[in-house]
Amino acid sequence: MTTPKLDVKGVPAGEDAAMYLNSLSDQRAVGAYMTFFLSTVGIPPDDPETVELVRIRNAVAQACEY
Amino acid sequence: MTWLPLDRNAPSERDAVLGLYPEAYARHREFLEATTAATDAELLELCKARMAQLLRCREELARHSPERLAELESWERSSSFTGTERAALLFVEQFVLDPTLVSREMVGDLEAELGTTGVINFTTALAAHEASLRLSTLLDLAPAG
Repeated sequence: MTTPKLDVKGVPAGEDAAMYLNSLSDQRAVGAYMTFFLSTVGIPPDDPETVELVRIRNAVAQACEY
Repeated sequence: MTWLPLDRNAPSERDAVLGLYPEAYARHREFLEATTAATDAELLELCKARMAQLLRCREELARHSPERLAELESWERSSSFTGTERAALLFVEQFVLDPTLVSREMVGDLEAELGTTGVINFTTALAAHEASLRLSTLLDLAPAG
């Protein structure tokens, strides 16, 4: 179970906490983020493994459990 | 001046650098605009100035008056800021320095001012603009115009 700092219900293990958070967010902002994210796919180094490695490294550095 | 070799005829260094990938740059601008529209624009502007100070982002710092920046440097001792602004500034400083140390109390204080959805949208806007400022600092982008 996640323990959010906000006054929202926790998310049980196995459920997608990010999707839940997105559902509470401004939908235009969420949509704009997804469109931006997709537009960056293919930008050099365009190597999914390297990008994933950097993403994981960032998550570790910032203690991002998700 | 950025260290990237670029066409000096572009309207601004930001346009020259991020415009190397026009599609991603356009979508990035739309994302920033959408997050700004989803929150209190004046509060976000104040927090962007504080983030720029913490990140030493000269592109953003140039958009604010020296007087305003001096006041922001010591906002905790200033009586010029409202309760909402003070809760936001405390939150944003910790957000930039180490988000894992943003406490429940900090979030609760901000939530009392903005509401739950307000905090979520404000944080989304902060994250978007902070990334943009970090990128600007990393690339040493010159102020526009």
